[in-house]
Amino acid sequence: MSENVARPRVAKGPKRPRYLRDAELDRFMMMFTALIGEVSALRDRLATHEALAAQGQIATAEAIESYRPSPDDESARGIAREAMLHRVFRVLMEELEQARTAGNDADLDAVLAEDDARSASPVTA
Amino acid sequence: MAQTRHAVLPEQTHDEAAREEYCGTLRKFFTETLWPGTREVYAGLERPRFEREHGRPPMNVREVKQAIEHSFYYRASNLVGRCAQELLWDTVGESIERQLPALRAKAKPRSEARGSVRINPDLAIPRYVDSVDIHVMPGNFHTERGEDDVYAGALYDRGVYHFAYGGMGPENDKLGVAMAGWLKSRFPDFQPKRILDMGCGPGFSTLPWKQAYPDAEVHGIDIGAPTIRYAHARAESLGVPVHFSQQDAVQTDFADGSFDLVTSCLLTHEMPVHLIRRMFAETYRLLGAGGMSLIDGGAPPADGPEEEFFTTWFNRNANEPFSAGLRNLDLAEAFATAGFPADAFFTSGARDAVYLKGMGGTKQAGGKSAGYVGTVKR
Ligand SMILES: C[S@@+](CC[C@H](N)C(=O)[O-])C[C@H]1O[C@@H](n2cnc3c(N)ncnc32)[C@H](O)[C@@H]1O
Repeated sequence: MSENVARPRVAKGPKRPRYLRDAELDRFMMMFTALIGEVSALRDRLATHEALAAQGQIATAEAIESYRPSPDDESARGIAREAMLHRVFRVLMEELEQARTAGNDADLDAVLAEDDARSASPVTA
Repeated sequence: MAQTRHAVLPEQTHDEAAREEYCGTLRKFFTETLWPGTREVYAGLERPRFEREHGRPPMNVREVKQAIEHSFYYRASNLVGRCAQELLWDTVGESIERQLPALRAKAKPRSEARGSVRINPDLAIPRYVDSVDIHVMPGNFHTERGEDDVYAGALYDRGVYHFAYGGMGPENDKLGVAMAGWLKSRFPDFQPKRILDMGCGPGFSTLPWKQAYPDAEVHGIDIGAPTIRYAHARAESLGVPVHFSQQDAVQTDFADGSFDLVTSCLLTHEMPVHLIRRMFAETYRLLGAGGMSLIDGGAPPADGPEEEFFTTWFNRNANEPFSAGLRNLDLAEAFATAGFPADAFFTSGARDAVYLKGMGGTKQAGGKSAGYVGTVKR
């Protein structure tokens, strides 16, 4: 056999059991926000590596612990953290955008209907 | 801007500091972006929907809640706010726990202290304190985690700093400084010799009184022993002599008429109304003739059910079950009932909130605080 058969990714058998109840999603958000915190801390650590490297230093655990970000560095990190939250929670912002533009947007259905009507009628010179 | 260093301020490793900063950013994101957005979603989408369905606007808080809860944005934002609240204490708590033995040792009273500290191991902890951890801060202000414990004080010092993402200032004292400054300018001739700060916590609201009236003897009391021990060590290290003792504001061991000013900051919104009344009576007993009582007035009364709803997030989501009672309490009446002359009641009127907490308290939400409220004993 020359070609690999694609590996199966769904097991046959009973349907996957249902595990979570609705309220349990709340607890997932708890884990999720904590996990973003770990990513954020890791990103800060990386920033410290970069800052040390820029000073020609090697990022040993000790050098990292004694590094103190400058006020500029501090505020850059704060801005990056906020930007990250805006990206992670982007989907939340959908309704907010709708609320802000409620009634202002042209209705797509109306635009399509108009387009249909126009293309149906013969082009006039 | 970092917190002012003092002997018992917890230290952070690189990653602890990073995690704490993240909690502050999450709090800021919730306070300044997500929560104000819920008002927009309500006004732009959910109130109109409710009106289409019912032929009238929501008429009470329950209906406002019902209308806005239709929104995923609202439900998820609310949850993020709660997550931030829980994560904050846990993140700060993990760092403090690691260094607790060292903090306890540093907090031990020293003979050269200029202030003092008194702990009362027999003090009965009121049921309302033991039944709910205010702000969802596990252990509240009073739980002892061993001998000479200071955990709760340290937790609140670091936690509040990040909670307000630095907005309370490097010494977490913006509220206290503003309150003392206001009293001084409103009553320039008033020169209190003995001042009592009730529910003083780690002393954020207490030290500013000593700084405003350097000749006065300043006392701070709190129900929590770990909080009081921490407050003492912190004040000594910052060089501000204050006398701290573990006491219940409802019934203290000070003599009748022993103070010229009895004050509190962010205390009454944590107390059931019947105990606020008893605390006012105790205040009356503690003041001499001409003595003054001054408290922060909490959140201003809400203008309609929608305002009520959008300014009571903490009541519903951060274990502040008693704050609604304070909001509905007529403070002028309560002071009068405690014995103060009705015509001595004064208030600063609504003020821009120093603290972002009210959320409705926030500038972003266009909110105000109720300002200061007080009275004088004749
Ligand atoms: C939110 S803290 C405010 C601390 C401080 N006044 C400030 O402005 O930062 C409220 C404090 O009141 C204390 N407290 C609550 N009930 C009390 C009571 N009955 N007697 C004394 N202190 C009390 C709590 O232990 C807590 O430390």
